Amino acid sequence: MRRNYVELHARSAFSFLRGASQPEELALQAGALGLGAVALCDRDGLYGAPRFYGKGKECGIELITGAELTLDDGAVLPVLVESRTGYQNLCQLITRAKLRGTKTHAPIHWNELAEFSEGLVALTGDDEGPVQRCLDRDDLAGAGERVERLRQAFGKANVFIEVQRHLRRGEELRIRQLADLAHAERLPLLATNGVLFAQREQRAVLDVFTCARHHTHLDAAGRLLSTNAERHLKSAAQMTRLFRDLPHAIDNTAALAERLQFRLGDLGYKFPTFDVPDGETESGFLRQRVFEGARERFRERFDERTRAQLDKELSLIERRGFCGYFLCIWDLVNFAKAQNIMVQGRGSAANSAVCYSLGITACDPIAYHLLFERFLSEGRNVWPDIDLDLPSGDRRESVIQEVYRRYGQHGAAMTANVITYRGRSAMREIGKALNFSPDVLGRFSALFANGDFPHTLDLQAQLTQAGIPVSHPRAAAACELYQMIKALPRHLGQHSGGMIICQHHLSSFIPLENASMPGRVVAQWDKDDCEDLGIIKVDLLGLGMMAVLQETIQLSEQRGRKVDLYEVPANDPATYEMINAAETIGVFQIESRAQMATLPRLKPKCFYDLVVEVAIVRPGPIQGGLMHPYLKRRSGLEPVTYFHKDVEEVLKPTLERTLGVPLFQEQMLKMSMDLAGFSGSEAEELRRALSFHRSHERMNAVIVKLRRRMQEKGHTEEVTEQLLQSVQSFAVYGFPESHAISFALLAYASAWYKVHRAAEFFASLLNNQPMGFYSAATLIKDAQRRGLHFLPVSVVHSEWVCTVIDDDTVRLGLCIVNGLRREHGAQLLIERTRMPFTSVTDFHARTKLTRPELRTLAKIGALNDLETHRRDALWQVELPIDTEGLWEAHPPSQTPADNSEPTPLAPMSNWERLAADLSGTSLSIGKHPMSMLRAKVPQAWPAADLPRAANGTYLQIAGQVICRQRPGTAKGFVFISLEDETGVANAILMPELFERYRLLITSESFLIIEGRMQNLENVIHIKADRILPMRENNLSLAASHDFH
Amino acid sequence: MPWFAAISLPQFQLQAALRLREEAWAEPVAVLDGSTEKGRVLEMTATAAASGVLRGMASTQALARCATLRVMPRAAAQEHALAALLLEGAHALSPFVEATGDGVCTVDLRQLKNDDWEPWARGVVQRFAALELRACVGVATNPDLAALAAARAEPVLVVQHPGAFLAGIAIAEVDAPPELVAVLRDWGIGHLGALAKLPRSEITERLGPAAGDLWERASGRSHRELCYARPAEVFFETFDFEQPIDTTEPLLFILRRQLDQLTLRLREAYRAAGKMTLTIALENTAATYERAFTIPSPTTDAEVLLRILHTHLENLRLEQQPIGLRLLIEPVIGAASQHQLFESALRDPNRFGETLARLSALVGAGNVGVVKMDDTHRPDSFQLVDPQFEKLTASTEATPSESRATGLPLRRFRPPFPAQVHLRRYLPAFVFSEKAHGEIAEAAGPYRASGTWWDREAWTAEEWDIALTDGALYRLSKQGDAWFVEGCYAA
Repeated sequence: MRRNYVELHARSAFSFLRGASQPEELALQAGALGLGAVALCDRDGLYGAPRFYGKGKECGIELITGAELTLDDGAVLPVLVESRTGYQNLCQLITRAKLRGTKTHAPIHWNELAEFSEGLVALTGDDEGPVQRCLDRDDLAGAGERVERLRQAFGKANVFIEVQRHLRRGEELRIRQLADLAHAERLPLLATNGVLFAQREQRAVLDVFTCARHHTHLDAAGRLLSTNAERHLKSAAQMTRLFRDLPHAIDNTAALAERLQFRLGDLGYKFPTFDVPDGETESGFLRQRVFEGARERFRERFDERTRAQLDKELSLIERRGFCGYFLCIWDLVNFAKAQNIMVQGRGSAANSAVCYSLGITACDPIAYHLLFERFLSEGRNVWPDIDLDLPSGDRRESVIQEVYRRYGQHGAAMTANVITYRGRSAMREIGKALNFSPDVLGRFSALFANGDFPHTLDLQAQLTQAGIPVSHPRAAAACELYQMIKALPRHLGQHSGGMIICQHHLSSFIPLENASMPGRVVAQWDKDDCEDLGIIKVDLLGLGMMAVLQETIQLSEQRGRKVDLYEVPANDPATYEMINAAETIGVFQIESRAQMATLPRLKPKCFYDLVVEVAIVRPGPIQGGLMHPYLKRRSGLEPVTYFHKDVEEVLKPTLERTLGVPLFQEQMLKMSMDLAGFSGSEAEELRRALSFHRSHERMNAVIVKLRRRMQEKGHTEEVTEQLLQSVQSFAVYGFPESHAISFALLAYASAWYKVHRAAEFFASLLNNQPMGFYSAATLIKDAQRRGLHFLPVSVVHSEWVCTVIDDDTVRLGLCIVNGLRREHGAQLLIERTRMPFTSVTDFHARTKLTRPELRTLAKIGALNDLETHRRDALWQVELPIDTEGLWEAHPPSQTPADNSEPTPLAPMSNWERLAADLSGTSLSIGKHPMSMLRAKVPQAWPAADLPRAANGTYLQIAGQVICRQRPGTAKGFVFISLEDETGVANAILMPELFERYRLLITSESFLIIEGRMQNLENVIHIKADRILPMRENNLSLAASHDFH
Repeated sequence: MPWFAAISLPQFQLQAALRLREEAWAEPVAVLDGSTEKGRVLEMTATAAASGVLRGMASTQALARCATLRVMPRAAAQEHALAALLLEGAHALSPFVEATGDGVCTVDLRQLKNDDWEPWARGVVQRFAALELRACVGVATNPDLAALAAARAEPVLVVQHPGAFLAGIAIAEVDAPPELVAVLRDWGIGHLGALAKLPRSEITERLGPAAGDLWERASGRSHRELCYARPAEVFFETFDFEQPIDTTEPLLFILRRQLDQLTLRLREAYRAAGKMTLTIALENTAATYERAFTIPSPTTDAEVLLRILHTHLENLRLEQQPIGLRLLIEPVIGAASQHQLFESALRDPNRFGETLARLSALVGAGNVGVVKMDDTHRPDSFQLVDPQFEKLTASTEATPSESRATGLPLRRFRPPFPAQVHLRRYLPAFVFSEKAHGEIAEAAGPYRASGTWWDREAWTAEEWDIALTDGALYRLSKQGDAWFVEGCYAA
């Protein structure tokens, strides 16, 4: 007889090392097996639930929500959710334990189960469950007592005795005991398979994870490993056969599943309302704020057209009930501004005139003809997405803490970031389990070329090169495991800026836990999960350049030459001259190698050119083959056409500003509106379907619709096909125009400050490292080439941060000293303020610096103002000083006299000073290392001389590697930048050359590259032919910026 | 003036890894420290060095510089053997020898009279060359100086003028605390000569006593007493027969005499025999027969030791006739304490050992021992291990969980009996085999287990427990399509 069976106890890989399948895989397999529903019970969380729910909707599998709860006696109790109250109780129960405990140990107390039991059903669990643990100890009375405690907590009707049969010898006795217990206690027996993986083969993954949990390897794990592979998802027929002796245990699963009516789509989440003054409504209050702001921001452009646009947007916002949301964001932005924190909205919000009027975004959407529907439209049942850029560091943290303050610890959280197993981490875990030696795993990792380029080295070849040949008895297992483990979740981090907030307790909707960062609370779902379930996210993103600009403006103000961001003069010739010359190191967005290679060809002359520059060097336009047509049309090498002659008139207004080449998402949306008659929401639906990789059906449906509507509009097959092709080619990666404008604003401003406030700008850049594309060492060399002077770190003159001395001079701060702790630096400054240091001995006695810190300061010359030379200081700092009670005993006027003998050590040579600077600060304000190595490579061309070489010349360049890049769009080509004492030289490597020299390229800090010179429109590259290491240097260098 | 010689095996780890692989010295080879993920290069051949491979370099960078580089892990056992060889060779020169470090021994030459040490040192190098070892010898007036000389010797260096010699030695070459070396490097003090020029008191005041010691060494004034090492003591006797022998009597006769001698020497050294190795040279072949015996209770009783040998030889069949023998005894310190009052150890461990030896002779050495269950889910997986005589007690009681899991005792058939099994609705219904035959009244199972999936020795097991209609209980197993009766349960 065929019975209904529902699997009510399954764990996914989101149980972290306790499950081996993605939730989506479980849902798919459940669909294939014809199971109607599955209860996902991940360990101490609901981590995998949204993913299962999403995939389950596609394949007709219901998700029954549940979790395994770790109790304070070590037992693991599975609970299932019956109602929304039960769901909220479960979230709150988990949150309470998680916020109370540590990351690895956060048990729930037995005595708090009753408080949160309403709407939950408890199972007695598997061999880790409270009952079976007693039976394992032959403690039958204890087992009965545990059942009674569960019954007391959850109620008689909500406790089920769980039995599992995994075909292991000895388990029949346990099943018999459980059946007897159920009979004696008059509780229903419930069969489950305690699923740990979707498919039988994934047992291997679980064994590897078991080894990782127990810090052992497969050869030593013994009986810790699975007995067999039976804990996979099984069909109703398989389970019925397995429990043919206990058919009621199978029947009970279907009966219980009927009771468990709660579904994840029914969360009941609400965004917080905004407290408006008495007598006001949210919509009225918002309307007032918008029009107030609009008058101020649009000024003379506040005309009928603007008013109409605002009306249109506001009425849509009101209809959709988003007024509170906009007001909350507006209030947060106001808070930031009141705290003197620079803030700027990015992303599609910049398409909204309402956002611009509220001061959330910085670019005028009406002036730039931006498409509001990209941000918000009638038919889209999703929340609008507003991302705020804030200066990274403390300022952003203060805004985040303000959100916590406003909504409470249980009312706001960062979204999670699921860290998955990727190439290196996957093989490291596998290698440890397979007992490979650490150096083999180290070599395997080193063979990866990072970045977004698909890894080109075949897995087996990579293993062979690392020392595991095909013939190795475990090579096959390593390869299979690698494919299975890759992309499985490894641990949960926190998203860089995504915050979710809620009208009531957020912990009633998502379990929250402590982040590793103090003061932060993180939700168990990532931003996509939250979005899928309709939970609104506000991105508070840290942007290093915002911090730099804010600091630059502050420093300028201190020096009486402040120019605020909005005061930066437009169309400044000197700024565009620098941009055209591609001297953009340190400039926002347009400093990368690819950007710098494009600038001399695009030759930006106005702000909109910069917008195009920001957007065009992107995977989408490059892969879509849009970059070259645009550049050709710009240089007049190709005529400007508008898609197809049949639709030229229709599309010209949309495509005119990009010379007929569709570069932006907004243009694609508008084209579909103009040609196919799509509404704004249909166009946005098209974009989302194309970028929504999870559903092919959804994508196909919208493409079919677009084709049909094009045909209905009477367009030819040729035009239709061309549009479809264009839409598909760049919709996935295409850049939003509003986003490009927001970024271009910062790019232009940073370029302007680099030209006109160079000292302040570079000081700020150095103070906000690490950020951007280049190391501090490269930034300093660039600044020096632009005529800026740097003064060394000095304990007598330096502050903690780099400071501006005059328009052309920057004093390096103590912050750049490697290994100097901030609190020690602060104490040093306090002591210096109290009384100047008179000697090294005095300095040593009055500061609390450690011996290594003292040595570093002496080595880099920071004590030179107290001694004659670096070695003198090194000699003096080693003298023991009795600091015990020194200051209590002696007032400042009685500072110990410096009676030390002169040093017998010789002063450092130039080379020694350079080496000391590099090891102590990772940079040098003196000569570039290459100036001293130049004699060893007399044949190499200095970077500054390359423009004089004839195109096609075979030559050699040499220098320090500052950047290695392998963009995903470059078909395997690799770009390397070598810095020497005269500038930066760039080389291009063919994919096969890179493969040949892979380890050399990734491991050497100085390289010699031979090849043929290419000069295309003043963009100079060496097409590499041969690569050699420069071995004779013993310098510890700043890390290069690789593969980004 | 006292003289000391330091004998060093340069590139000790590489020499150990390439021992008896002379041809590999011409290839690019590096020995790695495999204990870290970076896999740092410890030592490399000259060919590898010429390609840019340096000590301390990560293995990835070394491979980047030399694509044909052969990377090898440290050979710990070989290093141990090499160290023992070095010590043994040094003891042949003088009884006063120090094992100074990895691959370095220092010899006190006070008892030797010599005006010109260089020919003597060359002789030492040759002696080691005969053992296929590359040795360097440094001779100087103090042990540290001699060690430094050995490190720079090619292959011999006699230091007549310590000051001039030390001046050119890099501090990095000297065994000194890394932090001290780093400070001196920052000071620009790269060589011992430069260090010796600094005032000792100032150095010590700033950098502590370790710096003072280094200064002493740098100025050639250090002197320390050697910490003498003794080579591992082994006791052995050998005997070559004039004619090949064909009975055990002559063997036993000689062995008895050898044992009398050896036990006498053991008693004089306050030692007892812990292990005995008998090696028999065979006629017309280079091969030998060798057998090691663990002595259950270390003893100096020649009678007991002979009984062990006798028992073994009684059943020994050799393909060639013996022409010589060697008996080696590894000594241990005799038992220093008596057994505890309530601990029931074996009454006579040696007698038990002798019994085991008799059994071993009958059934083969691999088939005797104490059963130790493997830590695996694999059914009936166990090893036979040598009994630990000192830990054997009268009985050990099974824990409750073990007893429960065991249930009825299973008498295993070894090997299992092949069987034909007919299934009905997936369950065994009839069994036909030599041992069990008939209709199956009840079947429990299948019980499935599998493991070692990551290796070529992957295994799977499927078992059933069955009750025949006559009440007999058996265990069946299925391997592939074949069925076996594994054993029967006995009440």
